[in-house]
Amino acid sequence: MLTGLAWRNLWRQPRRTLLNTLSIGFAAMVMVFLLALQLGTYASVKENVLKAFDGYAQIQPPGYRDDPALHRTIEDPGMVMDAAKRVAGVTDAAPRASSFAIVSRGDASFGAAVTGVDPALEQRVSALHNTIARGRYLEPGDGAAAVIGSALARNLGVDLGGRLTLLGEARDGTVAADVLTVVGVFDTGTRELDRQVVEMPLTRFQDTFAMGKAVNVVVLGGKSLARLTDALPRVRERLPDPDLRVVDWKTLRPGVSQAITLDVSVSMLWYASLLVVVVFIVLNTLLMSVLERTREFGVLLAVGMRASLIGRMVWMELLLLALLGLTAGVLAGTGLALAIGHYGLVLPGAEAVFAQWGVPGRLFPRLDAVSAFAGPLAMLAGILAAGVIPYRRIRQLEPVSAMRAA
Amino acid sequence: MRIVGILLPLAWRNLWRNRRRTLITLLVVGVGVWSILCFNALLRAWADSTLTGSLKNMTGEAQIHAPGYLDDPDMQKSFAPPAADLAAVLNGDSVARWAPRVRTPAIVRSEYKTLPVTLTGVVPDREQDVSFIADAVGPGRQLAGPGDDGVLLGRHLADRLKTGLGKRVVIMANDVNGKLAERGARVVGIFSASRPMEDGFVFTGLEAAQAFLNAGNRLSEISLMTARDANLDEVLANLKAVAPKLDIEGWPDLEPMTKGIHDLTHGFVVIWLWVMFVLIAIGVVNTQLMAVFERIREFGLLQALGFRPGWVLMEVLLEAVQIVGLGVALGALSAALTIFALHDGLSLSGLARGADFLGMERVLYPRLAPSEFITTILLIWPLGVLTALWPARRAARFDAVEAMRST
Amino acid sequence: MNAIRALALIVALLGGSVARAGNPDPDQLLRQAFDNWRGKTSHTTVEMTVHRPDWERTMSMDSWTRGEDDALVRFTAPAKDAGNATLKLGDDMWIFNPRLNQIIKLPASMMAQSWMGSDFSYNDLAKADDVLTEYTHRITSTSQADGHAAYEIEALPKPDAATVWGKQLVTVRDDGVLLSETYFDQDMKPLKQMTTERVDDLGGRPYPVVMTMSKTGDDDRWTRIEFQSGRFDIDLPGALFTRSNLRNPRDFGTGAGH
Repeated sequence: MLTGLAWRNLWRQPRRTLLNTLSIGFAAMVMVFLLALQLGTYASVKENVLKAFDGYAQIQPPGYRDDPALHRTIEDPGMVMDAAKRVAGVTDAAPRASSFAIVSRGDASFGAAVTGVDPALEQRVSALHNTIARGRYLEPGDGAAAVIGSALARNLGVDLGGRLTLLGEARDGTVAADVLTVVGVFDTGTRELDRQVVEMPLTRFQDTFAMGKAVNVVVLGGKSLARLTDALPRVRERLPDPDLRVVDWKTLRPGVSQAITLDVSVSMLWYASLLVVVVFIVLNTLLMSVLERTREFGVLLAVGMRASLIGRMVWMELLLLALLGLTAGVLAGTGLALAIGHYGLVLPGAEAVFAQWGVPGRLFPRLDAVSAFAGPLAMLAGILAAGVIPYRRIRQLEPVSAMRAA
Repeated sequence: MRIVGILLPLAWRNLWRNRRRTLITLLVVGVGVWSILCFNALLRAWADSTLTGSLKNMTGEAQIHAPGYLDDPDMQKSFAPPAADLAAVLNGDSVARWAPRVRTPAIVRSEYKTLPVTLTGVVPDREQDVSFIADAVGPGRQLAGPGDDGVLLGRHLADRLKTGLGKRVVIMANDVNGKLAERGARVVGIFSASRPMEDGFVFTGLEAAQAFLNAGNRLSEISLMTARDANLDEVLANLKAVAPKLDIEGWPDLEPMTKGIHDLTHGFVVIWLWVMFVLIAIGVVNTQLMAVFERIREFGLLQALGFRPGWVLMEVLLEAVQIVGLGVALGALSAALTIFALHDGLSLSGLARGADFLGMERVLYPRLAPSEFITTILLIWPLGVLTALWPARRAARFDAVEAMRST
Repeated sequence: MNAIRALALIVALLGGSVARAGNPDPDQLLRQAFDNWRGKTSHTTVEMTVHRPDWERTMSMDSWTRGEDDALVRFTAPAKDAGNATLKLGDDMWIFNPRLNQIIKLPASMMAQSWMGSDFSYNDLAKADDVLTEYTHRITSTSQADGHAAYEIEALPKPDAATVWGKQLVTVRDDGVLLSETYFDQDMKPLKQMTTERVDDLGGRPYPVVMTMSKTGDDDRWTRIEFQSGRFDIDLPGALFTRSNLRNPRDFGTGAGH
């Protein structure tokens, strides 16, 4: 009954109610959309940073993370990849082997991280092939081919079709030596990659470095970083060799994780202040309306309604108002997020950042339970908590003095 | 226009007839303006701080190298110390600080492990405010000067090498003639910074490095920070004019990722400020509306007494001009005071580890240009007045009799 | 007169016996050990066995040295390794690989890599006589072995030495045969050691013909060197120690110029 009364009270002042609903709704919409956009941007950045080289997650032999030596191997990559792909959430697995070696041409020689990859599978877990500036990426069937970074190519004075000498240490300690032809030059914009990375076909690497069929790591890919990361515990269970380690993105790239945490904490400050402003505005109008209705409350008190009940009624009005506004806001926010999610949002700076990774600079809001409801729920809590103030004012009313108020 | 002269004091007195209403409006506008300005300052400080922190990770705002160094940072790509005219620009007003360095890939060896690093010969004092190393040394001590041949190792690197303070490591690098140079060096200090810095850099004195690499007085790099109000592109142009043979680049080109993130953050900040703005506008509209509708009878009475509808509109607008103006002024003033009070810096010690990790400053310095104040005032004041327009127009259109009859 | 002569005789005898009974000069001893090991020039054939927990490999090589600075090593067996060669001239090292058919200068970053998969790094080869030049020495103990006196020498790095070790303990026999060399970290914990397992005659001198390098406490990973033949202080043509010879081995009539 109280609810019904409260509801009708709200609509006695339709304009005021609508304006308040608008305030709450707008703030809620903003919270939902911006949070979704923020989370979507983080996800994008994470995914792109990882796809540039490390991959969303890796299966590694024990000890490899601290000491990435060639002799730490996964002996049967096929079995490991099959087991991983059977887990829902893991869509791709690619084998890799790598070692530090000397790459030279003529008199020039430089140390480089030489990585053997499967040309077809690798493109599904890494985006390096998107940054090819000249020539092409590796293809299945390639033999003595290599793609190298642009700075390394400059340093060696080599271009497409040029030949490189590779010299390193094979797994069994013998000399690993090979001659490769440059088929592609990539330019990621990150100097470390452009100066020091060489990729070659995995089978050739295994041959040159006496690996047999073994590899050093298996890189995993999924539809999204979040989905793959969620699937990792199940991957761990399914692995044929319990000694193998499953390494998630936070371990692969701790810097990104901490940068995002810092960014989140600062933006929480902003969301909190948004909350405060909204609550402040709503409280304001609520207080004003309570003051206006003092006479009305006086009458109600005189006919026997208890002050606490009146207070609860007003609180109920607040709750209904909040629910109305928040529902509208959540709907509008999710609608906006979905609509923009379709086309992407272009923000200055996004282009530059994403160009590094060879993807268009569009930001996509990512809707999930958190972005859709966290902000509105916090707002609801804030508004309801603030409702204590008018509640207490009402409880102090006396019927006669109230009826006489202006 | 005589009517304005009559209505203006009337409007002012009207405001103070209902103090409660007026004070609430003042509060909403004032708090709104205060929060927008303070947030602007805070977010800028944060963006600046993150940027400065990133740049202090061995980039600086601009760098000078010999041509070809960035592709192949070998000692053979080194250059002579700045000639007179280059030195003049570097020591002039547009450059706040500059640090000369030797910087080349090297190998550091301990009894247990051999790892690739970048050997950086520095003048410790000159690195202050240019890079993180001036403040990051923990156990042990900072280098005593450019002649100090001890080394500073990052904490994580020292752990991986299983070495420590007072122990000897061996540094190997290619000298200026391309020949292998090798020497033992004592670890005199351990520094803490972000992981890539700790793992990647070994510091020693500039002159010690030059001697070790037979480089005479040649430099690999000059890193500089521009003066606060200097324009980076101008500074770069000036430098290039006096040193056409050297490779001079600004941080947006050296670190496109940092630039991108900086711009992206800025984009978000703009969005956030506008949202705040809209919300406050709604708040002002709300209060204005309620104010006007409370006074319907009063406006009806005024019209019955002969007030033209246009005058009612003007009267309400003049009230809005004054009350919003006052609120904006109070908000701006308190924001200025707040920012001034924080000008010694807002400490981020709670987020210290995260801040350290990014190389970010631990203290935020909120600051706001006077132009920002003016822009905000010029935006909110008319907006506040405009929001009074709709209710004012409705008020003006009431039939006098109906108005007086409503409650 | 008699008394003085008698006194002189006694002093001489006493002086002599003091000299005999006292410790020899450790620097001298070490120099003697290195001279014995390498001579002014040398040509040796060596078999190197690398042992790991899951495999073992044996390689044969021809090795020439000139003084302390120059050395050429060419592998002769097995077929997979044959033809690989390493040339050291002073501080610089080059590698030749027959499959690539070119020589490559070893950059600083590769110096710590292991040489042919053994427990020796390129750096170990390049800095073998560091213990002689970069350390100060003193004799810490004497013992008897196979009818010879064996001296344990403690080598501490000089203040400016470019070496990572805390100290080395080198045991040398009185006839100059190197018996062992133990490397310690800077906390004085032993990390690895080279031990002579057999002493025999080689090229007319007593020689540590079998030496094993291993990490302290790890019995399953070691590298053994066995000298099969050796000639010392011979005439070696200067052209042997050149890059062109590294690339195109010529027969200098030194018995095994390939």
